[in-house]
Formats: sequence, C-alpha cells, structure tokens
Amino acid sequence: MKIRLSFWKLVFLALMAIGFYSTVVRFTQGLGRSTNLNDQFPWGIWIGFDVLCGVMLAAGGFTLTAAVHIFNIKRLRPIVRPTILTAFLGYVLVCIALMYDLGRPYRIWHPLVMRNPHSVMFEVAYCVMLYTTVLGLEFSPIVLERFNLQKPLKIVRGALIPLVILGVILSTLHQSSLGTLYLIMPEKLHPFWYSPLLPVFFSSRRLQWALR
Amino acid sequence: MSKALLYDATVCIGCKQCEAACASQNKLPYDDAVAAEQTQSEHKYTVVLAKGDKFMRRLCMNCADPACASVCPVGALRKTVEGPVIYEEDRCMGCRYCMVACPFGVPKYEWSKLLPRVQKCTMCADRVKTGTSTACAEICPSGATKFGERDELIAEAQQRIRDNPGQYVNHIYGVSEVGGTSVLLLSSVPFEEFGYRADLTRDPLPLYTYRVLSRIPDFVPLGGMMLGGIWWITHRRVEVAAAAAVESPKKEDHKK
Repeated sequence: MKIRLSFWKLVFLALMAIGFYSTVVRFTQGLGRSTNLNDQFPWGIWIGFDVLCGVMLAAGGFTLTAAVHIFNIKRLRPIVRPTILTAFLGYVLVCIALMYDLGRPYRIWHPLVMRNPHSVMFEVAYCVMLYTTVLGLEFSPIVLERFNLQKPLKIVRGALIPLVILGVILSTLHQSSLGTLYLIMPEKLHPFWYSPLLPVFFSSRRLQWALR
Repeated sequence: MSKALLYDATVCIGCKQCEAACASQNKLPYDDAVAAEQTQSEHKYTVVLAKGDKFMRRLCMNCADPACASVCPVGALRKTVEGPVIYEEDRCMGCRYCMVACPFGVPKYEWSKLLPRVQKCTMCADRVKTGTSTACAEICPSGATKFGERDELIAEAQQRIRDNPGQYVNHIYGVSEVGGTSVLLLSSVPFEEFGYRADLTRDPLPLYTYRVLSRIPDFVPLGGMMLGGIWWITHRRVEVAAAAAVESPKKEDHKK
C-alpha cells in the first residue's frame, strides 16, 4: 500500500516531530532547559492557553449534555456525542500536558492522599480527576455499543442523569476554581483584572463560549 | 510562643557572613562568585543587598499565615508552631503554585535539575525547634540580625524607633504585612528601595481564597438539587404529554 503525503499530513508530521523532540529535551534536560521558565516566570504562557482556554473549550460537553438530558432540548441531541468526545479529548490532553508541566510528574497522584483542602490547586486537581472520569463514563456508551456489551451499557444508561448532574457541578467548580487560583495574589495581578468575582467570571465565560 | 528574626538595616555592616553561614547550614556552595550574586536563588536563600552605604537583607519572611502553605495542594509547605515555614520535598509534585502565590517572591525552583525541588529559607527550623538561634543571627557580628520571641522583638524594635528619632523609617516591616511575618525589618530608607512591596494588604492572603472555597460544600448539594429538580420537571412534562397523547384519542372517540 502506498502512503500518500498530503500537505496537511506533512504539517502534522512536522508537529509530531517537534513534539517528540520537545519530549526528549523535557525529560532529559529538565524544565529550565526545555521551557526557559525561571523564578520570575514559574508558570508558562501555555497555562493560560491550554489549561484556561482549552478547558473552556471542553465546556461544550457539559453544557450540551445538560441542555439535552436535563433541560430536554431535543433539537440539540444530534451534536451531544461530538461535544462529549471533544470535552473528553480536551481533558485527556490537559492531563497529558500536566505530565510535562509538573516538576515531578510521577507524583501526580499525591493530591489523592496528601490533602490540603485550603488549596485551590487541590480543588482543581480533584475536579480534573473526577470530571475526566465522568466524561469517560459519558463517552463509554459509544464504545460499549460498538462492541455490543449490553450489561455495562445498561448500568451507564441508568446512571446517566446523576452523571450529567455531577458533570455540570464538577465542571462549574473546575472552571470557577481556575479563576479562584488568582485570588490569593491581589498584589501580582493587574488591578484591571483582579476582582473577588474572578471565579464567577471564569465560569460564565465558558458558558458563553459553549453556547456559541 | 513563636520565634522571629529582627533585622536592623542601620546596624548592618554588609559583611555577608549571614550568607556564608546560611549556605553552610543548608549545605549549599558558597564562594566569591555566589557572594557577588544580588538575588535570592535556589542556591542562595538569603542575600545582603547594598545600595551605597545602605544595606538590606532578603530572606523568606516566614509569614504567620503563609500563602505558599495555603496554596500547596499536597501540604508540602507548612507553618510550624515555633515560627519557621518548612518544606517537605517528599510531598512536592512541582506545580509551582507557591512561587506564583508568594507575595515576596521567595520560593525558588531548581530549574536545571531533572528532579527539581522548591528551595527557600526555612528559618533553620531544626535549630529553632531545639531553641537554638538561626545560623544567620548566631554569626552576625554587629547584631543586625537578632533572634528571639516575636513579641519581645516587636517591642524592642518600637523602642529603637522611639529612642532614635529621625534615624528610622517609622515602620516595622513585617508586623502587619499579609497578617504578620516572623521576620521583622527596620530601615532608614523606604523598604520599596530594596524591593519590599509597600502595597501589601494587612489581611492574611489565604483569607481571599477561603472566602470562595468555604462555599463549595453548600454549592454541591444545592446545584445537585436544582439540576435534579429541573430534570424531574422536564421529565414529568414528557410523561404527561405522552399520557395525554394516549388519552386524547379516546376522548375524541367518546365524543363521536
């Protein structure tokens, strides 16, 4: 079989090569060499891009499941599955990105046992873990149908409404906590952006985005 | 009672012996090149800044209610009862939120290492626990850095300002900044000149997030009930409509 290389295939292959190279540099040279982060800028701009914007894009998942299953808006039903897939992929990508970003990625499970409920990052960690699980379960019927596994399918279908409700709550908490992250640094954030209502802004903006 | 350090910049002679003592206490390299560095870093927990004949020390302020400890998701940073804010590297997963949250920019990271740690002055926690003075205060030849009970040091600092009118800025840095710190500073020039922020709040910073986080236990059941209620209503509507659709043809039959 001959593999045809189109323009976009080449572009994606190049991107994958860059990604592979960066991965090697990241895990052999350390964070400083690969990212040029330093003590003045401990968080890269990609935090703003993938975690804050990427997660916001995934908001379509919970908004549409809620619209269809809770609010019973039938005409949106055909696009529920694609949005769940988008959201699930989005969250999985965030988890993978975190493995690069954490200084010691093999300790990513630490918040499970070393809890500090006063930390917003702790809330973020739990929301990401639980919401990824919920999205996985919401997505699972597609896989289960394909392999015709009736028993688990029945369980997931039965738990669908509680799952959707859990998803909405977790997602709202996650989005708002990404705003809450910045509440503790009133002296660092520009006064134009700082507001005690940051968590509310963060969760309302993703609603606006999802409804586009 | 909680211990503290009082640094009086007007007494400091800029000999940098505190830097050297700190390095040997924490097993960090120290030579002329390191001595010349004018910034805190992962291998230099404290630094004596010089501007003309004025000096100022920078070190971790060991806040009473530290933002770094509050934001750490795994509780790797912790305030001890004796005063020091300590770091347990076995817990840290490297999210670096402490670095972003610290109002003084104190925690530093080992960027060049494959298994990096956060590095900062921990006010010689092991020594302080046994009642010994910190390494920097012990070695200080001029008495510029003094170790003692926080209350007594504040009283002494106030006394020094009273006794020497015009010699000090009328402010003890660290008494009320971000809810109080275990490092107290006296100076003859404004603290901003050495990078200490003058616009810090007097509230403990963790308060700002706690106001939001404490609402979550209410939000979860309320949100769940509201959504469950909406689902029940829409679901019921469909059921009623279905039942009505079954019944209505019968009624029409009846009329005929």
